[in-house]
Amino acid sequence: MKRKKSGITSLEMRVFPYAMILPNLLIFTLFIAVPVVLGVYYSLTNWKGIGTPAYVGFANYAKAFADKRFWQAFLATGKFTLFALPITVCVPLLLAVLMTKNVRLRGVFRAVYYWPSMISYIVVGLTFKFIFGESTGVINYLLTSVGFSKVELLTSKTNALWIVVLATIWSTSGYFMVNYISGLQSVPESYYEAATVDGASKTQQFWHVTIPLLRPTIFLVFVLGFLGLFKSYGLVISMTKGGPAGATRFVVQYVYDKAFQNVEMGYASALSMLLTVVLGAATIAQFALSKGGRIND
Amino acid sequence: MKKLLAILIVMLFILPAGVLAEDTKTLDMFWFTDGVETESMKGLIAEYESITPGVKINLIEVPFEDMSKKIMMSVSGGEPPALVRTTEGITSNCADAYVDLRDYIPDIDSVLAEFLPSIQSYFVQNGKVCALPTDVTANGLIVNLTAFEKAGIQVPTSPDNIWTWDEFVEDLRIVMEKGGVQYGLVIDNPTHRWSTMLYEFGGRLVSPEGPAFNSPESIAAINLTKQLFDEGIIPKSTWLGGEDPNNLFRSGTVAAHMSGNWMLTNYNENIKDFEWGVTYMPIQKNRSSVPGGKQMAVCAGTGVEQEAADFVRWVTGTEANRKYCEESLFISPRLDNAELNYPFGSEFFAVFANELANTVDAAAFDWGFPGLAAAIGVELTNGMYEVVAGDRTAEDLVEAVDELSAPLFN
Repeated sequence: MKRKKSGITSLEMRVFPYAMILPNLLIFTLFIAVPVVLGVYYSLTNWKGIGTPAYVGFANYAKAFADKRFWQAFLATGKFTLFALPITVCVPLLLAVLMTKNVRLRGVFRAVYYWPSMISYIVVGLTFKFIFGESTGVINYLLTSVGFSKVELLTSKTNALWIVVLATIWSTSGYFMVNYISGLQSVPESYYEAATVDGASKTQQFWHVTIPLLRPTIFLVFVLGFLGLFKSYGLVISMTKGGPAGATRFVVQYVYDKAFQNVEMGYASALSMLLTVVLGAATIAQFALSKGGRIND
Repeated sequence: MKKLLAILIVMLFILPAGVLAEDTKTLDMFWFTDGVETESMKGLIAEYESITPGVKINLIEVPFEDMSKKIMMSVSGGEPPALVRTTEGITSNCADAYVDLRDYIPDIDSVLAEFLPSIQSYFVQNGKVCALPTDVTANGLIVNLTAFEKAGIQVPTSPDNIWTWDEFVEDLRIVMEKGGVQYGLVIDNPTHRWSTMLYEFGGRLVSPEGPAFNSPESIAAINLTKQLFDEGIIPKSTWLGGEDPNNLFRSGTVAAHMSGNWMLTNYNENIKDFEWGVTYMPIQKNRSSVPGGKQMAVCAGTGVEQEAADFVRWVTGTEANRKYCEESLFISPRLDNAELNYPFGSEFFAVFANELANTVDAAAFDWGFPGLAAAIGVELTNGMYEVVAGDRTAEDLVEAVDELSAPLFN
């Protein structure tokens, strides 16, 4: 029996996949790879944003390791990420579980929960400032209008940090919820039927069927959430400007200030490179610890 | 024949366009808005274009906070704008991008002599004429007259009866108690605006010899600022919580706003619920304001430097500048435009002019010192916030700021 000849030649098979990834590769090269290479180059210079950069070797890196302010900002970012990441992972999961149930107006609720993730971080920051602002905010206005005294909100270091966490969760939960919904819908119904036959309660099904099968999605949300939180900038700058007294001054703001306020572009590039290395190392560690989010391990 | 006709028709359309494109030079101008001056500048641009055939000026609005960044990126990208609205802070960051106007404006020393000598350090840096000034600003004190009147306190009405800082603080306490306001004072920011207090106390940031912030006078000014926050006279929400002092003053909850003459238009348009006015800044060791202002600079590497410089010379000339300052409610930096006819608030401008006339030299020296704003701005801002929050002492802050300014003298 003659084998049916395929319509695709081996040459096409070799070329086609590359043709498909070419546009993305070009974009990646142009907007990610080239700036990173330039960033490495500038990090070895004393460039001030204008003029010819002069090579200074690893002086910027040495300066960074001794820069107390940089490490303070790093620590503040770490603290913020530590508080916000568990909530970033759990709240969207809760919403997704609810949104995959047969509830009335499910589509409307999904749209409502997703909607904040479409709003610019700057707008989210300003909105939360309108609510939590100390002298002109809604909360203190309501409190004082019923006879209570004002509460320290954005001027208290602890409260400001938690308000930033709250705003971040509010604005990102919708996006991660959609990821979880996609993951939840890919769990075969038969697994739940089998678990029900075996007498598993809903809670047991959640912990022993849903969570294990959702590991790849949880891992994805964990990694994306971690990177997003560590790079927080727009929302924070529009809400607290890094205050009070540096409590929410995160590392990206510090790098931005060095670049455009202190006009130390070379040094800011070195800080960015350090940030890239730390985030890369943390992501690799997450991959290793969670085995890449694989289900069957 | 048909072919020839077609070619002729095409030539007819293409040639004039080509000629036009060659003759018309477009000058991109980066511009930030401070109040109502953009409309006035647009009017001046239209006037200049009508008297200067072949030049078109394209005003591009850029947020003030992003101006340095935008200039740097444009220069790095090989497409600098022809013209830039600049300040001493922006010039401090971007002076290398600007041409020396000496090379484009004849007899520049005579031109410089047309402007207030006290602000020349803002745009003449190390002998390079980086820009020419369009307006000059003065820091000063805007007060809620209704609140002061309600508390039975007379605000100073002449330089002969101005407050000392002790008297001022005491009166603010009374206004907070009896004047129907929650707070006594707001200060825009802990750098340029706050430095008014610094100079009144006799402090300064740098001197010709070197760093000079570390002095008992500077420390006293910082400690009084902290005390005002601690007592609740200044709301912590402004410096620690990111709230806008202008909004607070406009809402009628604050008795006084340490700001500058550029706020007058805003308050004139937006405050309807109470009477406000301008009074003299309190005195300590000195009286002082801090001069500021905006200038126009020409970027290098555009191929239209001469045309841009010609526009700068024209727009900072007597007639154009008079029109611009009167329409925008600005103080003119030109000596021959000292007397202007403003549509409102001439008495307020007189107070600001008096503040400028009584300003210590250190103010313009500090803020015009090349590279100083970039070197210490962030540390001074964040450091003042930390002092107010109680995380840092004034002594520690002045030492840290001096360490940052020291390399500028090497």
